[in-house]
Amino acid sequence: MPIAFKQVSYEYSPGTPFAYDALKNVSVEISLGKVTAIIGSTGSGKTTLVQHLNALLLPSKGEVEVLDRVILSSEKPKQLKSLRQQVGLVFQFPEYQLFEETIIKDVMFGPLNFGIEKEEALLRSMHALTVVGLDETFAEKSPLDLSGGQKRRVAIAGILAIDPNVLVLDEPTAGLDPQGSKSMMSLFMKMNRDYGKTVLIVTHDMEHVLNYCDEVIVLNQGSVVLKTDVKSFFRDEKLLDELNICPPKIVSMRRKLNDRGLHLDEGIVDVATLAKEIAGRVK
Amino acid sequence: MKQVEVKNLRFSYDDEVDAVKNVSFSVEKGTYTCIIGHNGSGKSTIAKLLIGLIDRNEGEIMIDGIVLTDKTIYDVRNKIGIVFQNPDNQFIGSTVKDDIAFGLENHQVDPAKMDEIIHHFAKEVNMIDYLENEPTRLSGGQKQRVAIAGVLAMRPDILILDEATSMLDPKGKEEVNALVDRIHEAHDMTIISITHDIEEVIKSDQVFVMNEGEIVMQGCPNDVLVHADKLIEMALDVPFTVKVALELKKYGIDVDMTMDMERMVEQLCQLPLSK
Amino acid sequence: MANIALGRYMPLNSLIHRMDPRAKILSMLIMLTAIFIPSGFMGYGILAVVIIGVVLMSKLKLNFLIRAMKPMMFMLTFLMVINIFVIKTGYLVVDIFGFKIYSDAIFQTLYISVRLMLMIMITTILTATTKPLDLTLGIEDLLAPFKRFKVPAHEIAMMISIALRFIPTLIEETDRIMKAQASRGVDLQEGKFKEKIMAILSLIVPLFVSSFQRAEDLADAMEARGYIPQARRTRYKQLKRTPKDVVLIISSFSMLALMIAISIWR
Repeated sequence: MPIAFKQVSYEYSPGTPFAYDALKNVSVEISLGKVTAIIGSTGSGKTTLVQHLNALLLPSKGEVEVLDRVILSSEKPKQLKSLRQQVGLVFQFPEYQLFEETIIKDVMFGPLNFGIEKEEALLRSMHALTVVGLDETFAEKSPLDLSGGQKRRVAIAGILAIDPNVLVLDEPTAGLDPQGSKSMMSLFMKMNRDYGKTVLIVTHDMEHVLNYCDEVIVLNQGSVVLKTDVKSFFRDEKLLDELNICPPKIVSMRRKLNDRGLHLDEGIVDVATLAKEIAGRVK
Repeated sequence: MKQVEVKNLRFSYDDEVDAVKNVSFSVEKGTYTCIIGHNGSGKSTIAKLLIGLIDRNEGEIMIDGIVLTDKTIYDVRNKIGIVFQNPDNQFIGSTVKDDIAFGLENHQVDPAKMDEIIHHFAKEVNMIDYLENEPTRLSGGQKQRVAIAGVLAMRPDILILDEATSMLDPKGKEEVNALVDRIHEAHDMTIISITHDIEEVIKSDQVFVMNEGEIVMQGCPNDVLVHADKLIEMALDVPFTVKVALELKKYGIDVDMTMDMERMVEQLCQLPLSK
Repeated sequence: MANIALGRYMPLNSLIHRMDPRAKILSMLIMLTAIFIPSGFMGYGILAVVIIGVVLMSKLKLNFLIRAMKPMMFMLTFLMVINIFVIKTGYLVVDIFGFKIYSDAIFQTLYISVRLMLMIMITTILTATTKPLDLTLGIEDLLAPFKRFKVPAHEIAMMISIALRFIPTLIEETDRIMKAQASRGVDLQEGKFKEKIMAILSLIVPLFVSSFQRAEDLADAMEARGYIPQARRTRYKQLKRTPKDVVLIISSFSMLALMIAISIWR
């Protein structure tokens, strides 16, 4: 059973002068077992959309199917907790959610809340810390002693330790330096490729979409404009222009070279392949 | 003319590890300088040291010929405007115009004259329609533009941007970068930008690469950014065209190292290629 | 949040709304003093009529004011019960199965109740007709003469206005943290006592930590823009005194004088 939005609308502050339709009649399916990027300009509804996946928000209209559960607008879904154990949501700038005395305690907070036994929680947490690249020496440190990037990794470990089937990340690389960004994205891809998790990433970075994601969903002003696979997405020049999307550099260069008549294959998505192709053509 | 001169600067937050070790550099008036480096390399510390928000352990800082000391700190601050990374945490006023007014109040400007000044700079940053807006109704990019207006209103000679676009979405980044370029041109303002944005670095006049508290490379972008291996070692971004050139080199194809994509495309088309 | 009547600003456009905050603050203080003069029910009757008149002039709904007094109702009822048990003077009002209720108990409670209600009405009128920032400006100006007594009028006003500026931001942040922790299984409704404590900690600690960081960043930004706490600075927003404001203050003084007169006459 996939993840699906069926004619979902969401209104903030209904009945007040600030009422605002963040999502308008959205219907889209999210493929399990893939890395899906959710893109759109600020205010397009991306964060609102993903917060429906673990029932932080309930739809004003329509229904959301998540794994084996249906979330309706009218009813308060019982057992929200078990849903939140299966769909792990990492907010933007998650380093702000750390609060425990030590890092290991903070990472264990999530699993313990979901009723996992202490020993098991400890094992999972130590493992999660290793996965995000922090070794045992970090376990007893205070979260406040860490750098921003390290804190973020602790926060993510906190969600990984819950071992959700679906991982949703809202702009996980915001404010990170280039290296930090790359290792973060690699981590998420690993979650998908090695651990089979369904990964959803809300992002602005087209390079990341190209390099790490399988599918992409485009939102604009509360509506889903498009859902397609990444390669096809970046092949369509007109579409990218229409959506006002700045393509990854490799795509721009490929385009410019093709404009000059080089007939490069549109499947070329990285520098190495481009260089090989060009080198192959040199007389 | 050397507007900023830093000699043998050393600073430590906790007296154990030096955040800044023996840094020396100078910045010419009217130029656009970028400082890059991984998080924790000391770049933001430099910004705070330059305006005396933190006190150096050793070394000398000279701004426009004035040596930065306890006595000259206010004179130096008058010459420098700084925009920080977090758009919310530097927005002091309750509305856009109140925030721009804050600096004017500190400088004891006559209240009767404030409206005119506020309007002038709000216009310059394209926020003239938002004067009555509260910060919660503004985007990150808009808040940063207001911060720039507030800083410009005090007519500094030097503008320091401390990762001012790091927390912004692409639209906000574009707005702020375009504004800074305009200001650089229009006011011949000296810009020191601490950044991760490699595109910004490519357009600047000089770049300092910091690593573990020291400047390890400096010069104009074209000379510095070609050392891809060093940049990668320091966990920094390498410009796209440089990556292409280096890949091609593996096949024995030599192209001029350029930062500009158009020129790279030109060069590739000049190669003897079979269609 | 939206239902708290006490202390909330109502954006209307009335004569009272447009008045200078300094005049309003002063009048409120004078009227509060008048309320404490023991002028008996006649005095309070006059005060009540005048205050209700001001309420009408400020275009506030009486409904709104009644809501502002709701929090007091419980306490006053409690007080009434206690007084009925404790005060056994005055004439006998009623005898219920041997339990005697005396007039003094009732009148004393009423006395206190009326005072409290008038106080709440006056202060609610002030906060409902004056924007928080204008109030701050008013407080700053009124405290200014006390600078010679080392009262940091300006610093107090600066702190209040920055706090006001950040209230919406903090509310948003609290919401975000709540959602983030909810995603980690925090459930404020259910759970044992210890779990609830952890849940609350998981909200409060991050708020505190980020507030401290925010304070540091703000201090840096303020310093960088030339802010020096004790130094002289000008102020963008100027308050203008008009004849109406003087009338307001004089009227308040008259009421005070009247109350004093009545109390002496009694």
